[in-house]
Amino acid sequence: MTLAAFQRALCDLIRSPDACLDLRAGVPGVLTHYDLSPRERDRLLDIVWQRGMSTNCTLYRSNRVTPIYTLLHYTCVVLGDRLKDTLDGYWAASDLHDLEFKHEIHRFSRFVRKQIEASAIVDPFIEEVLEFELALNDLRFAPRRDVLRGLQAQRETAERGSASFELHPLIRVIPFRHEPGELLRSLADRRVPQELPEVESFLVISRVDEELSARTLEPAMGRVLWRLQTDGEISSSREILDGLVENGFVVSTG
Amino acid sequence: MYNPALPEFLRTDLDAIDFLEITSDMFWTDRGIGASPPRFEEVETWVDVLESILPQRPVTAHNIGLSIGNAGYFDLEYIAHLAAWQRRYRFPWQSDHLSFAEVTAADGTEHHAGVAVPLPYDRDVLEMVVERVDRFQQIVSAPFLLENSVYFVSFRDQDMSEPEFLNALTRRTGCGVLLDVHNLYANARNHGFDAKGFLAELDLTTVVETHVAGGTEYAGMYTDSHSGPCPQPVWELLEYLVPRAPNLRAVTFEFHDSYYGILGPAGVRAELQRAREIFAAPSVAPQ
Repeated sequence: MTLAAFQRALCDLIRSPDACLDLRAGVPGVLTHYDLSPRERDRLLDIVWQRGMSTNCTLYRSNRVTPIYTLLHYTCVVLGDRLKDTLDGYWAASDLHDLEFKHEIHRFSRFVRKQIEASAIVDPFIEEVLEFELALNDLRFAPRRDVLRGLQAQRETAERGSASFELHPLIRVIPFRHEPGELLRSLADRRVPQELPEVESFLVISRVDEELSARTLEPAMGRVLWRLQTDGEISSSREILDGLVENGFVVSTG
Repeated sequence: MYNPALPEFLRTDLDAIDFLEITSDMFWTDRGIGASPPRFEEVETWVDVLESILPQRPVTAHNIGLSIGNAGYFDLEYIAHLAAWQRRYRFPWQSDHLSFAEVTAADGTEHHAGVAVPLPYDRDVLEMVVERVDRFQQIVSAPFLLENSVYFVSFRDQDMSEPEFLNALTRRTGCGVLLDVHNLYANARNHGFDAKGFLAELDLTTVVETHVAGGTEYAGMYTDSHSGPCPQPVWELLEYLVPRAPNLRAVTFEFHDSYYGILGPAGVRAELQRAREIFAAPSVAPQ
């Protein structure tokens, strides 16, 4: 069925202004991978000259950037002038599987992390800001009531068994290398701080209550929670553990 | 049309609306074709709003995920989910768009096209869409409408005009038309045809709902950006349509939530009031 090939070719042109220009210029091979009827081929050759094709290409990019710019806004502010190249690289490397905001930001984050690992992006703030925004969105999308109901059921079982502890499922811990309050306030003003002293900090964000809330933790507590979040292990004094349980950060699961 | 800016408006200004339309896909996250169940994870806070409105106003479902024109794949799992929501919420009707947004790659995987892509109005496309509308209507127990899409490129050498295509589709399947008057205005403006001529060609007895909205010039074309108030020509088209569409049951005002700051509650009320006045105006013999 050539209609499917025609649709694929049309969508490939919409996502690639360069391919449109190549087709206009008569560069051979642009359409060779598609099983097209002569009428479909003629239509595509006509479409790339239409003003609306440029609109389609621009809307495609605009629609793809929307989830990233909306939900990873501070990360975009930190990337600043590097954002365009980063997006171009991401779009070249990744197909658009769906337009679910939640999925798109995770795909983009994986790309950014790889860029950081490869030192293609070097920035003092990017990692902590990215992880902060991912955690925030993770909680925003969490099915809060279901989670709380599940936790309650788990607690009822735990009362009959031996106690073990885990991070509350509606809590996230983010380690910062800079004072989070000052950094995030700057980014809220769309301003990347010129200089911020390095200091070990931990920010805890919570959606245990309906509204999201955040607070900084003193490092000893933060390290314990961070380890619990990443390795599932708790290693602390009874005093710290009691403090974490009292604050609702850690729950007993049996 | 519901958007994330509206929960407060619905609490304070519910009297301004006669019904609410939701984009049902915004009420869940779709984990994708073939995902382990549940594929559709509901967004709790949104569902709460829906369930708070349902006892007070009728709610219609306007979907964006059917991608009825995607030649490579027809998502029956998605339709089964819409059927489940229909059983749960009993929408007076459901609708989607006459276009495609999902496209099947050469390896058979599904990708999002990034934009809603128009269909050529050809006989083979009509056959495909007719078959799919029939299938939808067998599975989802609600009247089904398809919306005329905005398009920025046109296909040369089509078998039919858009109204001819819609007329054949509704005649063969019994589905209705959701006539987006703003999309019609945008297409007429961008492609230089007469919107009233389009309406004269379309079987207006099939129009059950209409959308009105605002738009903007963007990247060289007038787009359906839903940016605030409706332009005057859209109201004029609505005035022209209403007395000629005997089965029209609803006029829906769409705006993007990012424009709520500009519109404000008073602006939304004003648009709704204007739509209501046109809809309720005494019918005159169409000329």
